[in-house]
Amino acid sequence: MKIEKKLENGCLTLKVEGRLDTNTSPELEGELKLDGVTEILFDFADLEYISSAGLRVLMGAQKAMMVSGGKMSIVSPNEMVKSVFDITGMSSIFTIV
Amino acid sequence: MKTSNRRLVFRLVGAVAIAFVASMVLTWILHEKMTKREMQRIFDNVFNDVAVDIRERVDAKMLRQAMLLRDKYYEMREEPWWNDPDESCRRLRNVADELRVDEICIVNSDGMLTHSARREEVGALDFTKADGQAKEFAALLTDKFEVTQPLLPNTLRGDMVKYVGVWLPDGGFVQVGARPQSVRNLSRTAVTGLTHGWHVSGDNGGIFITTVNGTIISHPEAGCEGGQWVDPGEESYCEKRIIEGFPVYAVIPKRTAIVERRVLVATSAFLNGMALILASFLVGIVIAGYVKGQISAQRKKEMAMASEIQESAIPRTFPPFPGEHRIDIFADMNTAKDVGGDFYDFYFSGPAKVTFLIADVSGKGVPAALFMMRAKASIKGIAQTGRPIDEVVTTANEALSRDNGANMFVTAWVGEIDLVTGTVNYVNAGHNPPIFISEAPDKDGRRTSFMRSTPGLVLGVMPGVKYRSETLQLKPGDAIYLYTDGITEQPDAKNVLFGEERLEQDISSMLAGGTPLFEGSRSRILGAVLACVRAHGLGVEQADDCTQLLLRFNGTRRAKSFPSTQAGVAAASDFLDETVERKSLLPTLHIILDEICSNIVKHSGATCFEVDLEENENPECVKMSFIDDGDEYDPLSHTDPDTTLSAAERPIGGLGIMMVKKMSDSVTYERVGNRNVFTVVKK
Repeated sequence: MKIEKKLENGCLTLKVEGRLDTNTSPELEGELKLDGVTEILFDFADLEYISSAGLRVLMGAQKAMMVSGGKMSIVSPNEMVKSVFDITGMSSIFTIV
Repeated sequence: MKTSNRRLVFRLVGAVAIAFVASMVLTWILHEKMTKREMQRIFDNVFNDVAVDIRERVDAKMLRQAMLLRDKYYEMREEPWWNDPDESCRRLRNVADELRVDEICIVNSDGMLTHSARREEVGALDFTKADGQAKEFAALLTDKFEVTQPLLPNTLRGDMVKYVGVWLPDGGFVQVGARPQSVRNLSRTAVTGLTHGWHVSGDNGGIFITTVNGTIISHPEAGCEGGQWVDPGEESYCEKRIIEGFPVYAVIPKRTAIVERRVLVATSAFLNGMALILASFLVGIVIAGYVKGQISAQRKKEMAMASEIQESAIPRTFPPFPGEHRIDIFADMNTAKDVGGDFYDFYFSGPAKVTFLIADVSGKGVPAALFMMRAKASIKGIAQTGRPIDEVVTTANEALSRDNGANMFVTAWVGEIDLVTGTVNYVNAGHNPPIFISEAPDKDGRRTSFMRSTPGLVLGVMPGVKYRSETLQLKPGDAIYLYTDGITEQPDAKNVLFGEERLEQDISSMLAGGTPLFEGSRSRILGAVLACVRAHGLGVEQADDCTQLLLRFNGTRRAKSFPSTQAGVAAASDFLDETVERKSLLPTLHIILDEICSNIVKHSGATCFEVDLEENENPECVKMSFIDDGDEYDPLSHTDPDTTLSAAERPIGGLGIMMVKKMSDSVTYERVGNRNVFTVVKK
């Protein structure tokens, strides 16, 4: 997995490439430093798949944003990732662009 | 080796011989000394005896003279000249001549010598204060009636004189003294014939008393009367001693001593000989043991080498065909003796065919090993030509039956598996029936069964025999277990054999207990069976070689085990990438694997987990099994989490299993023995 991180005007953009599973999600969790962040953008264009361990990280971020009144969006996930969101009912929680 | 042994024997025999000679020489020398001492002892005894007798007679003679003197003394003391020293001296000399003695002394009650035949001695000797020879006579003044002495040095002058004294009832004593010549003259008649007829040292010795000029007086009629006389032809020891002035000769035949010595030497030689024979015998035993030890050490070394050569001829590397996943093979051979007759083998006999076999050669040791090598090479050579397995065995039998002078034979089970279809063609040439292990239990829940068929004749006995092959279809996961009779025929202490039934039971219960057939390229089953056989034969010698082979057909199935750690999950993920052919399914399979394996690692307490992958063509699907040795846990027993709750209320747990269920086509959970088996099928 590869993560590209960008913070502009309180907007944190994380481009995640590869696989987001038990092995890699702790790494993503480590990148999520949310002090002063008002918006998170997950760029999943190059994400192969996501497992529940990855969902857990996303859920954590989502809850943090809800508490702080910020926003979180997931950008261009592939069919696989989208189906995982659908199966788990995450589609209704996440803002998927 | 042999030369040095012979040299050792020579040295030891030489040492024994030298010891024998030395011991005999020592015995001889010792005996020589002992003989001389013994002779001396005999002489001492003889001379003591004769001295006592001679003295007795001489003393009696002298005492008579002393008594005569005493009578004369009573007369003389009345004479007027008695108190004139010169006159009395002269008179006493005459008396001495008359009595045929040399000295006469008259001693008063105070012990003073008052009268003597020697003028100068008168008043010169006080017997109460005298030393030496004279001292003894002081006793006559108080408590003795008579004193006799042998020839002794005179107290005043030192010349040899024999004194005899008798007491005087009114105090003092009289004494006569005689020098050797006078003693002899006086007592010659007394000792004449004294030792005539004496037996000295048996019958052949003699003792003779002579005069100073050598005339024998002890045997006055020697040689004439049946008296004892020495045999002039007899070699003898002779010793002379002077007793009371008389030369005395003792003659003892050497034979007396030598006969004794011969007996002694013979006895000692006999005893020595016996001891040495015993010693040689013991030394022989030691040498024999040593030589035997050397030979057996040499033999052991050779056997070990033969064993090593044999071992190296048997494939011992597992997995035998790295990269070939369609079958797993594991085998083990434990020889009872250094070199056994068992063997197993496996090799490619076609592009997608593997021949595998197990065999047991009759007999043990080097001949069996040689025949085994021949059988192994024959079968392999023919099998690798790609001919059908029945022809392979038939042809191998021809080869082994020819030139089989030692009349050895081999039982063998030879099979050939098609790696694509799992079809096994096999020939059983007089071997034990293998055990077929199916992956799926039958309706009675059994997974094992003996592959009983009519076995063909053993190999190497009769040329011209046609062997027939039989066929068994294996499904992925099915296995064949081959063994030799060392397993089933191991007796226990009561001579009850381990047996086929017990073997099948043990394997069945291992499988029911969740023991996997293979773990990686090895199988724990073989070691466990061997341990059961060993436990059965506890206290009994291992009867025979124990050889086992396990082959599992995987087809397209792949299996690998991983440690139950996060790294294990990552490795399992890599295994998935490497193994699965249908790459389009990979993301889904990855998610399923990630969910299940991370669950195992986090919650089950397992030490390891196995991932089995099977891609089937018809119906087209991928079957993934996850097997772990952790706590019993059925993930399907939980209800799925509510996915309609808001983000704030949404629980995280249980999502993974729900994903697995929804993303796959079938999910099953099974507890097999101490293992959880979770199987997922994805079309």
